[in-house]
Amino acid sequence: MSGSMADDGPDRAGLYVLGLLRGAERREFEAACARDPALAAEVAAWEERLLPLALAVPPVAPRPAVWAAIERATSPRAAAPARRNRLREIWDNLFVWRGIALAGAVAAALLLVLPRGAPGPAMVAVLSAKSGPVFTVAMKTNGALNIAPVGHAAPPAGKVWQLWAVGQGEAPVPIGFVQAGATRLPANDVPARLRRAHTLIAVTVEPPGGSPTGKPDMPIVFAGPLLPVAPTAS
Amino acid sequence: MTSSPGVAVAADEELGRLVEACQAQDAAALRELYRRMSPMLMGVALRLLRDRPQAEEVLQEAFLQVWRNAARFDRARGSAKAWMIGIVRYRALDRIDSERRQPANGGEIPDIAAEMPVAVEDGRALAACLGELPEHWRRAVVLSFVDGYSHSEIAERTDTPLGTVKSWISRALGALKRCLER
Repeated sequence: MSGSMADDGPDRAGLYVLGLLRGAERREFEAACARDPALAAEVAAWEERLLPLALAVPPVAPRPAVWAAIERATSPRAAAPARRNRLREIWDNLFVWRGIALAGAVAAALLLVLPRGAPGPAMVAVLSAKSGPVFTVAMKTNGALNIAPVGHAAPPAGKVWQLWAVGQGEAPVPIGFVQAGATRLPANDVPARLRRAHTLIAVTVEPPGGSPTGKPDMPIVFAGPLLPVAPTAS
Repeated sequence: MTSSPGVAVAADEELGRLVEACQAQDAAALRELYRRMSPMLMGVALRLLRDRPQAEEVLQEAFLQVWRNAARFDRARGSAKAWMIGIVRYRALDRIDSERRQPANGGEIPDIAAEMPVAVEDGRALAACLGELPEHWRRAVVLSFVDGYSHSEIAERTDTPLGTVKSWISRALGALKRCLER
């Protein structure tokens, strides 16, 4: 039924597996697969048919840091207690948790300077250092982020700014990198469960490529909590 | 003679067992899965994204997804290899979609399909069927599946109208399906 007969209409399962459905089209197709087992089976059949082509790609050894990060993420209880305490201490004592009210005021001011017309953000945050705001963050419902510098700022030479999302009492989740200028991060980099008020958005200084451990071992340079935008704001 | 590390991945049945063990939060199974599959999956991600840190991020995310979603793996529907490659490829495509990919350097892209019969034990049928396609159809299939090219990127690269490329792909899919079902 949902199968593609010889010449009528495109074989959407085949196009999907080739990677030729993009953007919204791809997400809609994935949603359709979740509802339609026959369609999902067609996808699996194409994945199987084309498998040898993927297996023919020359293998590349990932750096050991990749496994180290996976291991840490999958066995929290195995992590050394000292290390976990230190992380917890850093995140719990973070000055920004105390600055939520102030950040709220700044975030409200931020709304006034956001571009009109386009769908507005669902959440905003102001990433502040002790010296004051450094970046503004606007997040859409789908998790896409627009990050803009307040003044001039750049990471130390040879380092990058890595961005983290932290739910209260949770381990930080890496969500990308912040450029010195404006940065746009695509939808879905922020896990859905963290797209909520008071999730902390934080930045650490890390070596190029980001924290080799997958955890923010370096100090936080600036951070701020996500705050909801009132539905009437746009 | 199939001794390259990406190819020497274990019999799929055993990989399937390892994925199933991950459903029971068996950390040793995940480690073994990583040992066997990561070079191949890294190769696939790197080829799509052209950037090592991004490919490594995708690899990491994919293994965490395998760990959390191991219960979604269904042997009856397909092989563990295809399932895991799918996870890596769709995560990489997410990034390509959001334009986080390095631009292609415009140089010659190694033609994976040409090496396939020697490289992969079970690839002969696909290789033979790809070999029956007109050269530009075959190239378009490989550029999309292996190198993550969109219809319009293929059109640009091959200096062909977009509609023609879509028709190549569509006909190639039909021909491949018929050929492989023969």
